[in-house]
Amino acid sequence: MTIRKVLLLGLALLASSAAAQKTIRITGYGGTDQTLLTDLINRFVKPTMAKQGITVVYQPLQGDYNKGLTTLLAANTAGDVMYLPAETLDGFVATKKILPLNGLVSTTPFIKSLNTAFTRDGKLYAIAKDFNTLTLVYNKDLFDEAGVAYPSNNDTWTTLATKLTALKQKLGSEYYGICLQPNFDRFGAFAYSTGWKQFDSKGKTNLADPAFVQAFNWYTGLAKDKVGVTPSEVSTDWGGGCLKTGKVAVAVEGGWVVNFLRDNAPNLKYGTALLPKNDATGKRGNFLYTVGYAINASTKNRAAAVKVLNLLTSAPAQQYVLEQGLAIPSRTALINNAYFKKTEAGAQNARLVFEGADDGNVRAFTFGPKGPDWGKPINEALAAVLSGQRSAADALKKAQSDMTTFQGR
Amino acid sequence: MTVIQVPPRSGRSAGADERWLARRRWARAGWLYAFMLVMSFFFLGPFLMGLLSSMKDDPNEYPPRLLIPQLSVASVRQAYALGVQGGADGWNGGLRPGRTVTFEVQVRSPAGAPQTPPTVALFPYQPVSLVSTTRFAQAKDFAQVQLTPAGTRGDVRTYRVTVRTPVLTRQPGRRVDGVLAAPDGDRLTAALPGGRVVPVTLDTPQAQEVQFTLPQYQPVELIERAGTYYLRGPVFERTPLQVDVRRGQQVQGSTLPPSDRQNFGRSLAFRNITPGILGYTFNNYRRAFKETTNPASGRSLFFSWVLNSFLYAFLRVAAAVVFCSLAGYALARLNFPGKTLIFLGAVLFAQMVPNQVNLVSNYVLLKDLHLLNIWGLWFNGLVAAGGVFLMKQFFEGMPRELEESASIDGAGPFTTFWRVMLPQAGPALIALAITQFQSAWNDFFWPLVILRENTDFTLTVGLSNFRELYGGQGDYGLILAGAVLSALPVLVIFIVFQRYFVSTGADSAVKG
Repeated sequence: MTIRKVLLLGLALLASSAAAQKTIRITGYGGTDQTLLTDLINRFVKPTMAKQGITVVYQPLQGDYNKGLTTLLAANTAGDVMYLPAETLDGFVATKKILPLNGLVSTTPFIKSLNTAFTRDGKLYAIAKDFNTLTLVYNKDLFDEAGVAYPSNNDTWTTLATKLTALKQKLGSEYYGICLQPNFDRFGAFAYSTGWKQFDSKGKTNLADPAFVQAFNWYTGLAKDKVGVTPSEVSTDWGGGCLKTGKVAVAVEGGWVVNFLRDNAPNLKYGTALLPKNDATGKRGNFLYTVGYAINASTKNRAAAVKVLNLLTSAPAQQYVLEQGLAIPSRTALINNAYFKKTEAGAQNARLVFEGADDGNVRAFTFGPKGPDWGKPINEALAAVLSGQRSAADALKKAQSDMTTFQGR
Repeated sequence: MTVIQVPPRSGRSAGADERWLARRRWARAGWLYAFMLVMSFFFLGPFLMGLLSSMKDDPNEYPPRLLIPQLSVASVRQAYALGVQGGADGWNGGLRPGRTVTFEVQVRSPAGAPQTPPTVALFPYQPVSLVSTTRFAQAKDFAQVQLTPAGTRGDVRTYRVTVRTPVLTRQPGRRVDGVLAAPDGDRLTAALPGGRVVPVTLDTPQAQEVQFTLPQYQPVELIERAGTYYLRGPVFERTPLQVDVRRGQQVQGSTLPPSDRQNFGRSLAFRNITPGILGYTFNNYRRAFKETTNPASGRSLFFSWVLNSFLYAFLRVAAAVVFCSLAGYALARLNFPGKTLIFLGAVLFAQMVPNQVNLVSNYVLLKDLHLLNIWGLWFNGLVAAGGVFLMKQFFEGMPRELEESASIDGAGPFTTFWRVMLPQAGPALIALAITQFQSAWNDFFWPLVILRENTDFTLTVGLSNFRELYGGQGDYGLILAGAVLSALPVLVIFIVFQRYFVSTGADSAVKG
């Protein structure tokens, strides 16, 4: 009898301590994010949650995040809150394991295009953690040396091309105007600028659209006379590397280039401008690269998870992230932050990345439901033309037929 | 045996022939030596190139240079001297409070070019890929820079750059090194080398000004006087200096060669003008240990990875030596039912099935046992099938007479094994230990699958983490340094035990 009592008492104690020790797990990227998120959680989340007896832990996934998250979701062991990259959103939404946030979280403080990026069929699946867009990052010294005006926010495709050509002519064979990556993830922004749409109403991609052809011809046309150069031609693999060599005047990159340059070319004098406008439409195009916080549909502590999500995206938390120069947060109100008014090159770049989010035809960076292979035909066409192996018309024809095959699968 | 007599040629003495033969011998040795050099270049080349690149400021430099300033005697000597000036330590360098560092720059300004002095400034430089972003104070915010002309020769002018760091207290007393700990309310605290945490007193307005700019883990210098610790100032690991000259001018030379050049060679960056030898030649190696601090504990992750790898390799070797020799002996010499079946099923078959096949089942098993850590990793590799096979073959090759004489003396199976057979098994055990150490040290797949927390990583997994973190940032120097460090133990083992490598496997197993 007494033994039973003791056992019951023990069980009751265990149950109560389990209830008091609720844990909210956040699944996210490994590496740098591990440090940053731990810091953010300690500062802005733990103090509030601890009062309710809830502990918050960050669970980083090292390596390929999308693969890791797929496994965790399938095994039902993903965190209560998790990172959700916009470019792979569709695949994860299809698993029905992501909780729609409509009615749970207020979207009004956040940049509209970012909310759109995480919305499918009217359902919002995540709140943007932070984001990036593309900008023109230029080497001031090369423009000074050539006596050509810096790229400006008023540039159109034509005026930019004129500046770059003049610079190339002035500086000669060892220097180049712009770094052209043979990828959709840079080129696509120019295609959007013409008003081209990635998918039509039936979900098909049309590469024969005159708008797309126009962008393709302009982009690849820059390679003429080596005004534009691919990164591999200057022994690197991306725009930041091009700038570091000091031989390429302009690169199309986002805010991530700032830290890279600070480490690798600390004395490079660079400036930032918005991407050029298309002459005909008068609009810029841009990508939104973003990762959001989503909630696991099968979480046992939904209310606490929502609270954690709100704290992570709260104004003080985002202010902190911005001021540390770590990322560009997603709240509209932050445009008035003092950090954006600094004259330092990194802060200038951050401001233009922020402004780029709702200037012109801005679309979330995504490959659609079929995944990253969608971009392959375009990348191949760009590479073939930029390296001079094919004519633009020829390459586009092949790309369209590859795309049709891919989408018909 | 016939000896062919070479008839002495006319005009040539026997001495000349001797010399000719000696030359031939030397030439042959030379060719052989050159051939071996070429071969070792091909085999060791990538490693040596990695080693060399890991010391450069820009490991991606193209075209690559073999002679780099980091290895030139003059530069290394300067690095040592600058380290002494800045940090009173020629090896570690750094910039300490109250120090003055002088650095020289020669600028050529031909007639017609501007004759103005260059502009110099300290700049914020701190590789940001990992933790350091918000961690340490920058010399730029504390030290003062001054430029003074120091002589002219022809059209080359020499300028002396002086960097001074202020002292934040006027108290005399004993100097103590410390690291700032978590603040106690409004008050700064510091951890002393012994681990004791003491409150820090800020007794001047200058010191009070920096109260909120110094983060946790910032190394500082303190003055101890009557049990009170006064802040003397932060200690900076690097002193990054930037020099810009005008169009038409040219930088002719400087105390240390610049690490970055931009703007047609007119903007130079010196990432650290107080490096010391470790901060100059072995900068990336030092960074590997220093910049991977675990934010929770402030301890070096790289160091834990190395320890984990050693622990894992040691456990694997110990387990293999014990279990493989026992199992190998049992399978070779004892008779029991199902022996052949065990050999075929547990040893040969287990060896033939690739790891990846039973990945999921093993993972789930370990997860249910709560062993998703280094112990689970070890548990998973407890008995090496290959090792059992090796030991079985070895014991089979031993003469039976040994055991027969032991059993005449009244020894049971275990005593026979322990007293008679095992002492003979030295070569096979060494071969087993070496191969096990090597495979445990290089093991990547399982550690990657099993280990979750970055404090639990082994070096291989940690290095792949490095690649992710720093590769994207183009910081290949650090990755190379990590790779070289991880290759060292295996290299040392190879060099020390190479003769056993030659006599591993069946060779030593059958001969005994």
